Amino acid sequence: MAGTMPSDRTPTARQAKPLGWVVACLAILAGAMFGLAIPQATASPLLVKVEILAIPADSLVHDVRYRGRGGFYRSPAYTPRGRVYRRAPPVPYARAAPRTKPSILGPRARPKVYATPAKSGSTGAAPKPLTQAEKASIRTKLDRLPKQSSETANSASKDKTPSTQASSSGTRGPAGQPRLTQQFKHASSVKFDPHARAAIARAKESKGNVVVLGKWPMYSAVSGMANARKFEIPPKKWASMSTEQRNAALWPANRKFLDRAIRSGKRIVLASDPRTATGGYKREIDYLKSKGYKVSEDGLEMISEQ
Amino acid sequence: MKPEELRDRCKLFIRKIESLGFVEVESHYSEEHFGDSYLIFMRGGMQILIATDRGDLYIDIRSSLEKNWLPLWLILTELGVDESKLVSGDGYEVYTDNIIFEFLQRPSAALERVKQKR
Repeated sequence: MAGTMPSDRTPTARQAKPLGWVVACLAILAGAMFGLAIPQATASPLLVKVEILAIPADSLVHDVRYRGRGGFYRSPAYTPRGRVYRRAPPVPYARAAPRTKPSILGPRARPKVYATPAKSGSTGAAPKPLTQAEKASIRTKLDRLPKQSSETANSASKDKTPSTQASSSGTRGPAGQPRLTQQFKHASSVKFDPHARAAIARAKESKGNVVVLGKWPMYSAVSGMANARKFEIPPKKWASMSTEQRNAALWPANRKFLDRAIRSGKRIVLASDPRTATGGYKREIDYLKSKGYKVSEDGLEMISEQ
Repeated sequence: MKPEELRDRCKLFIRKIESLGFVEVESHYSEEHFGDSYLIFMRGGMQILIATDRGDLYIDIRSSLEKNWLPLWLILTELGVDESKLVSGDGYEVYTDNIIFEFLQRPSAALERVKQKR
């Protein structure tokens, strides 16, 4: 009897070993599927293998691209003590997510809203051409808009600039109002109206020997673009002056600037339309007229009559 | 004059144009240029520029038809505002006249008229 006892117990223990492994594997599998963390100390290579088999079921896990000591692919959660593992090639069962375009683009890469028609859908496919029925329905909708909107739409169709072509292609804002950027490319083009643009070209003709007069901010922008001189008081000096001092000093300094320009025979370019002059700009023009100057026919400069 | 001060100075005018659908799209302040500043309001194809030039206030307007800035006082004279009123102060008192707001509601025809006259 005593001799038979070990032979009886041994097969039972041998049978229990694989069963224990299966239970442990199932427990780990269940734990991995329900998001339970597996402590590193208990993760044997076999258990890691089982856990990895469960990973593809989790759509959020993409980064199984790290090779562990035992040659297994592990998720970054298993990186022990912050150690960086060597990057391994992507495995077939858990590929890295495909790279997409960054959502935040720089100012150069940002598409111009006013010139680009809206894309149909997020796939980036070319927009489908409108059918006759769709065109007709858009026309009727446009006709129903308030008078102000239809006026601007008509004026936009007359104008052939790229900024207004976008408005005629049907890119309209809410409630049928044309988008702000469709009519004027840049809000900051305040400085560069057609007169100011012509003044820049005129100022560039005489390289360096030019002074620019006009209303702010036009004259400042034109002088900057044409590298010409403009009337200014050093900002530090201006900041140190009181309001009374400023009022008292402004016109004498301005007159001195004009006298110097006259003496040195500089070309005087007008950044703003002289017919619409007001305030300090009008005073400058009147002073120059008193010194024998007149406004040129195109209104772009002051010419000496002598 | 900083943009806040400019807004405060023209608050009656700004309130009225905002009620007509104009939206402020840009403001700028320059300490270097005599502390001048400007505000731009926009509605569809029309912009209004409220600015100071060496401390003097002026209000200009332009449309996509006439991209050059036109002074509001010029339009006011075309609309029949007494010119003697325009010399009072910097003209801001006149800008709050109701005639300008009637004009802003239907601007295209009036701007065309002014353009032709010029």
